[in-house]
Amino acid sequence: MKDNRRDFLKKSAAMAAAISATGFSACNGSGIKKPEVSSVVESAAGSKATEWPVTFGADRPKICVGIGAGDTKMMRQYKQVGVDYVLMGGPKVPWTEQSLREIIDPFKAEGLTVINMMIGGNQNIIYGKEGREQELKNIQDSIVAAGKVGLPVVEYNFYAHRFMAGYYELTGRGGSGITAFDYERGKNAPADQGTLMTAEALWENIAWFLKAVVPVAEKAGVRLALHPNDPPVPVSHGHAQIMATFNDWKRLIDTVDSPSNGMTFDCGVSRETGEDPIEVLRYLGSRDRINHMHYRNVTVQQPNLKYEEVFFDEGVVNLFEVMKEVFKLGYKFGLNPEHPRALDYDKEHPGGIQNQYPGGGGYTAQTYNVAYTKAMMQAVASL
Amino acid sequence: MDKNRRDFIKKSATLAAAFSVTGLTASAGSDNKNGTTAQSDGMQKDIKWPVVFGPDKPKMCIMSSLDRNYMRKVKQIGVDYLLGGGPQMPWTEKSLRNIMDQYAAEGLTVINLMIGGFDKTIYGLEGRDEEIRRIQDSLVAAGKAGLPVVEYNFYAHRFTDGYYNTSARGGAGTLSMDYDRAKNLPPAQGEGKPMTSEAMWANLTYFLKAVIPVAEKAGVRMALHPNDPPVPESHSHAQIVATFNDWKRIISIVDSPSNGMTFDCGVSREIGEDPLEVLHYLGSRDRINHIHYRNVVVTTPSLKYEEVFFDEGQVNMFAVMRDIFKMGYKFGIYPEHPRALDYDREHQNGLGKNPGDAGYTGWTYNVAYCKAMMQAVASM
Repeated sequence: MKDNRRDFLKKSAAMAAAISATGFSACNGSGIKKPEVSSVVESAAGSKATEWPVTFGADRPKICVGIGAGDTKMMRQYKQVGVDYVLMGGPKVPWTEQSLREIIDPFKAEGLTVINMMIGGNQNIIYGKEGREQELKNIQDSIVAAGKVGLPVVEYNFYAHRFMAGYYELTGRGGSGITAFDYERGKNAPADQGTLMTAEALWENIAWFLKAVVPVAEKAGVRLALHPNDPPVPVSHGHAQIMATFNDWKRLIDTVDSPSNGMTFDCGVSRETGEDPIEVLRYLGSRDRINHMHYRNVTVQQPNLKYEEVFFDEGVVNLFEVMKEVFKLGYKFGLNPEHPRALDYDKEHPGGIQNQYPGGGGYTAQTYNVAYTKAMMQAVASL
Repeated sequence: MDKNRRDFIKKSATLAAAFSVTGLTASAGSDNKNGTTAQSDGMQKDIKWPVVFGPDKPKMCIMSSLDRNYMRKVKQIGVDYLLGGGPQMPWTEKSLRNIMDQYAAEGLTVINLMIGGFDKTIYGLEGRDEEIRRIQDSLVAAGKAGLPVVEYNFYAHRFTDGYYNTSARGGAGTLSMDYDRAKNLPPAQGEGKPMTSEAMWANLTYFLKAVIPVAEKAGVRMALHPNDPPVPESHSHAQIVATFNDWKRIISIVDSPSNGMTFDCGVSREIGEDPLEVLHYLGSRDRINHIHYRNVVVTTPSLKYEEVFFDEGQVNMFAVMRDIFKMGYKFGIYPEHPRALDYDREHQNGLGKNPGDAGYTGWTYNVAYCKAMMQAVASM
C-alpha cells in the first residue's frame, strides 16, 4: 500500500530489499488472460445494448492494488477477484533496468502488470539540504530506467513530516473498524528538531526538483504523480504542507507545464479538504494532469481537520458521479480502490490484518473495495 | 444458498434447529444514520450520498446463522436483511418470532424463509392434504409474525448431479453445469415412477389453489424458485419450472400477487432468454416476490453453462438492476452463488465439499458488487 511504501522509503537510504518489476509496454496485454467471451467497450456513452461481460481495454482506467514484490500468493489471490494491475514501492534508488525487471517479471508471470511504482530518496531535496544534487541525479537515472522498462507512472511524495498522529480507530457497522482522523489528537505533537519548513521554502524546493526531473520524465515517456497530503492538514509537526488544498494542486501543475508533471487524484482527500471531488477531477483531468487515482469514501465533520474513512457505500462522495467523470475524461492509468476497512473475518485469518492505519483492513475488505469499484466501472460503461 | 436451505429442509421431517424471525413492518429499513433516502430512480442529477434504501426499495439479503459472530460479519459488509430456511413444520407464530427476534437483536431483518416438507403433494400421494394443511397453518403463522415472503420449490428431483467445479481467473472456483454428465438417470429411491409433465402441473395446481388464498389472506407472498439447473428432465421426472412459458403458466394458475416467483437473472439467461424480458413480464404483473442476482456464461441453453463472477458473465447486471428499480420492486434481492477463493479455503472454516461451495470473501465480493450497482442506479 501507498503508505507502507512511504515509510519504507523514508526509513533508510540503503534499502535492503531488492525488488523487481515488470515492464509495462504501450501495447499492454501480454500476460493478461482475456476472458473467452468478451468485448471491449468502445465508449462509455449511451450504448443501449452494451455487450456483457464488459471488459476494459488499454484506454480505460485500470483497477490496481498494492502487492509486495515477490508475494506470489497474494498475486494469485488478487487475480482471483479480478485485479490485473499492481503498484508498490520501487527498488533501491537509483533504479536500474535490472532492478526494475526483477520486480516486474514475477508479477508478469502471474498475469499482473505493474502500472505505478513509488520513488523515494528525496529527503534532502525536500529540505533543500546538501546532498540534494546527488538525490536528484539518482531520481533522474531511476526515471530513465523506468522509461526503458515501460513503467508508465512513477509516484512520489513531497512532505517534511506526515501527520500520522491524528489517526485513530472508530467502530463502524457490526463492529467493523473505521479509520478516523482528528487534528486535535495530534496537534500538540512536538515540532521537528532542526529547520521547520515554511510553505515558501517547500515550494522553492519542489520547483527546483520539478524543473530538473520533469523534462527527463517526459523524454523517458514516464508520468510523475505527486500524492496530495494525506491527512490534508495545513501544518504537520511544525512544517507547512504544500499539497493540502485545491489551490496547492493548481499551483503544482503550473510549476512546470507538462503531462509528466502530474498528480494523484484522490476523491476521498478532495472531499476531506471540503472541495467537490468532481470539480477537482475536472480541473486536473481536463488538463491531462492526473497520472494516478485513489478511489475511496469519507464522512467529513470539519474540512482538513476531522473526518472518517468509511466503507465505500456509506460515505458522502458520489462515487458513481466520480466514476462517470473519470470515464468521460478518458483517463487510462491506475485506479486504486484503497483503504479497506477492518473486518472480523480478516482479523481471524491466519496472519491477521497487516495494515498501518488504525481501523484498516485486509484482503476481504480490499476485495469489497475491488468488487464495488468494478461494478461502478461496469455500470458507467453500460449507461 | 438455496441448495443448503433445500437440503436442510429435505433432510429430516423434524427440524432440530429452531429459527427466529422478526416481523417486517412497513416502516422497516429506516435505520441509516446519516443517509438520505434516494427519492426516485429517475434522472436526478444531485443525489445526496450516502445513498440509502428505504422500505420501498429492493433489500439486499444473504443467509446467516444464529451465531452472533456471524451476524456481525453480515452487518459489517452492509447487509441488513436475511433469507433462510424455516423452522420445524408446521411453523407457528412463536417459532417464527423466536428466529426473527434473535436476528433483530443484531439489527437483521428476516425477509424470506423457505418452506418445504410437502413431497407427497409434489408426487400426488396420499397424505398430501395433511401436508397442505400444515403449509396453510405455516402461512397463517408467517402472516402473524410479519414475514412478508415464503419461498418454495416444486420439483421431483433437483439436478445437482450436473454440477461440477471448474476454474477461473487465478484459480478461483466457478460452478459449471452439464446435462450430459447425468442425463437419463432413473428416479431415485423412494421417488416412485417418473413424474410426467401433466402430473406435475396437476399437483402444482392442486397445491396453489389450496394455499394461495390462505397466503393472500395472511398478507404473505409466496415465491416459487425456478428449476436450477433448469434442465427439462431430471432423473426421468419432468421439470415444470424450467422455461419462460412455464413461469407464465404458473402465475396464471391462480391470479394473485401471492402466487409469485423468484426472478433469477442467471437462470433466465441459462435458458436462453433475455433476463430483462422475463423481468418485465413477471414484474409488470407484480408477480416477483424474490430476486436472485448472479451471472453466467452459457454454452448451450438449459444444458451447459458456467456460473461465474458477476463481472465476467453475459447478463447485463447494470440493466437488470436499473429495471428492478424502475418497476418499484421492494422485496429481497439475493446476490447468490459466490465463487470459491483461496483466501476462504485458508480460513479456519474452509470451504464445503460440494461443487460451488464458497466462503465469506466470495460473499463479500457479491454483496459489494450488488450494493454498488444499487447505488449506481439510484444515482442516475
